[in-house]
Amino acid sequence: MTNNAETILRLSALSKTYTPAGRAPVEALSAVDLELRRGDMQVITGPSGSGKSTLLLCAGALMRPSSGQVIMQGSDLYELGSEERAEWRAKHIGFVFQQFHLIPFLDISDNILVATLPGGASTEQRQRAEMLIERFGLVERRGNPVAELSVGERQRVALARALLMQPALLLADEPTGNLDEDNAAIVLQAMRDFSEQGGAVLLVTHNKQLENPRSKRLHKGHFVK
Amino acid sequence: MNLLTYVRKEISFRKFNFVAGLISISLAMTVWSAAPSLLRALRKQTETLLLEREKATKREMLKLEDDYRIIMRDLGHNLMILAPDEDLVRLQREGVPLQTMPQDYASRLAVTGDIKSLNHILPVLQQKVNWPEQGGAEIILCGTPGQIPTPHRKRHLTEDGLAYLSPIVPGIPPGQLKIGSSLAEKLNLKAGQRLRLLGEEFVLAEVLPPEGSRQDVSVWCHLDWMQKALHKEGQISIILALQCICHADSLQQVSKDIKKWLPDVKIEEFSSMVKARLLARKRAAEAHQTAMRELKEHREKLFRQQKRFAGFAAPAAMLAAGLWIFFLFLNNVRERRQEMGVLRALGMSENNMLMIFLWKSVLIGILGAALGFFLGHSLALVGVEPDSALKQWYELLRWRELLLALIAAPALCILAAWLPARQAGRIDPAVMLMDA
Ligand SMILES: Nc1ncnc2c1ncn2[C@@H]1O[C@H](COP(=O)(O)OP(=O)(O)OP(=O)(O)O)[C@@H](O)[C@H]1O
Ligand SMILES: [Mg+2]
Repeated sequence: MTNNAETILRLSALSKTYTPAGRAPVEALSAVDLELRRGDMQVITGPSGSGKSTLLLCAGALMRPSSGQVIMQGSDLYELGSEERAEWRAKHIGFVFQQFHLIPFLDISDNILVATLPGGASTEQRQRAEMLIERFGLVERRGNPVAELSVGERQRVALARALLMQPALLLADEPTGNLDEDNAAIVLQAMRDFSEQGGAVLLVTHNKQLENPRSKRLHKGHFVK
Repeated sequence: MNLLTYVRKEISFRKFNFVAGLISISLAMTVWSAAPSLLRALRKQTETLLLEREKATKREMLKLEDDYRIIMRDLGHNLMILAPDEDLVRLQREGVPLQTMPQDYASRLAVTGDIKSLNHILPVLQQKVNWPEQGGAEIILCGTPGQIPTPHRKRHLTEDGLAYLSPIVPGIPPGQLKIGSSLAEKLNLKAGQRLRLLGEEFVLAEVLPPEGSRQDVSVWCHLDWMQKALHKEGQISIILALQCICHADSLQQVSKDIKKWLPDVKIEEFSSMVKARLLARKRAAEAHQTAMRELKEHREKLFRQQKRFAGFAAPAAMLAAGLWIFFLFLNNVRERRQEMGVLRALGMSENNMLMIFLWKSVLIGILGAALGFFLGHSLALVGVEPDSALKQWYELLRWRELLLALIAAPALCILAAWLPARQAGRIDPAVMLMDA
């Protein structure tokens, strides 16, 4: 198998069954295994309802699976308490969503720096934010409220926010779903760069165009490829 | 950007939410702080009113006393010493004494006896006569040599001890007359004019001011001339002892002192006048006390009413503000579920999420307390006494109460925001992100 030191994320026998009150349980994930190493950019495709988002949330320490383990850099994330898990997310995991989820009353730079709350950013973090603003071509729009940004710019801000803390793992749920081709290309390139610099990316999408020889396909909670 | 900056930015983004909270807590604190200021202003007003009333009454009492002093001096025969055979009943009926006694009775009292309790001693010869030169008009003719100097009043006398420096009843110089006001009017006589009386020529020195007594139909002249004109040499009919008694009780003692020197004279006591004076003073004091008590009671009642109202209104306003703020925060949290989910996903702790809302509530509380405090204080003063509100603004301000408000209001806001803030901390980011 692979070198353990290289492994960033390992999902083993991961299952998730939703039990909505008054309705039949929904098995969204069943016994999924997956391993991500440094430099990996893993794409997972699947139709709507196949369990992509469920997989991502479980992997991102945001939703406790019904069974199975999520091991990141040697730590079983769901063995941690919820506050420790939050701290883990802050330090080691970056998220990018289809809906961007920016904070509407903060400008670009504050949105990027929001993960430095409550204490505020260090000089180093501020410099890194500047670097990201430049890298994603947001310099001219820096002072704008996010409501005035184009969707492409918004996703670039979200990406910068995810990368600020230099996480080991980047989780992306349909990051290009709302973007035009040019912006989608920028976002995908940034993710590729991130993995090439030693990070690991897990990208879920229903867009088959993003499939590659190494990508997996999810269907009703199972990997079918 | 720290947490407080974050809170500030959210506040300026959702101004309505903040302002609505601010207004409610300001209003509550207005009522809350108006209450003690109002009560203080009322107390102060009461004190001023009572003080003014007291001063006015004191002024009135002094004036009343002054009036009595003047009355006592002008008519003020504290004691009337009459001849041994005088018939007091006839004296009352006739208005003048009919008997006489030797003139040296007066000097016996004043000089030989030198009775300490007798201050002003005035020998008078009094008799009803018809004024032939004025068509036979009936007058009471009074002759006096003026006050007899008594040795014990040395410091009020001239150096030779023969006359008063400023007598309370000036003597009538020979050749002059003083006439009562009714008489002067009836006979059309004016001060300064010359006239004749019983064949002698006089100058009318003064028309005496009206008194509503027999004085108004009297004519005053020098004793020596009157004795000669009426063939009553060495005789007088009354010795007036003026202003010699201060208390009704000591009258008996004075009578005893007089009888020691003039055992058989009759003494008419004008004690009723002294009593009247004492009584009047007592009545005035009583009336004053009643008025003060009533005023005090009225003010106390007002004060109690205001206190009861304040005791009810302030807590009610606080409760209402607390509820309103609770719902505002509930709404604020609901509006910000997405944001909270993201922050939580990005790793913010449950505590920090709580703090975001509690800081906001503290800001509302502090600002609301300051606004409400000064507004309440000002309104209370304007309500009680608009004219002096500005003058008393600082005087009736209590910094301790401001401090208390600055603690109470944020505390109330924290309390009101607590449950919604807790709810915000417990938002499940996974649910939020799935919902989106
Ligand atoms: N909270 C929930 N309660 C009940 N069922 C749920 C819940 N969340 C998701 N599901 C169900 O679990 C299954 C997997 O959902 P999931 O959102 O992971 O799919 P997805 O692949 O991300 O779909 P999409 O492409 O539409 O985003 C679906 O059948 C969905 O209806
Ligand atoms: Mg999904």
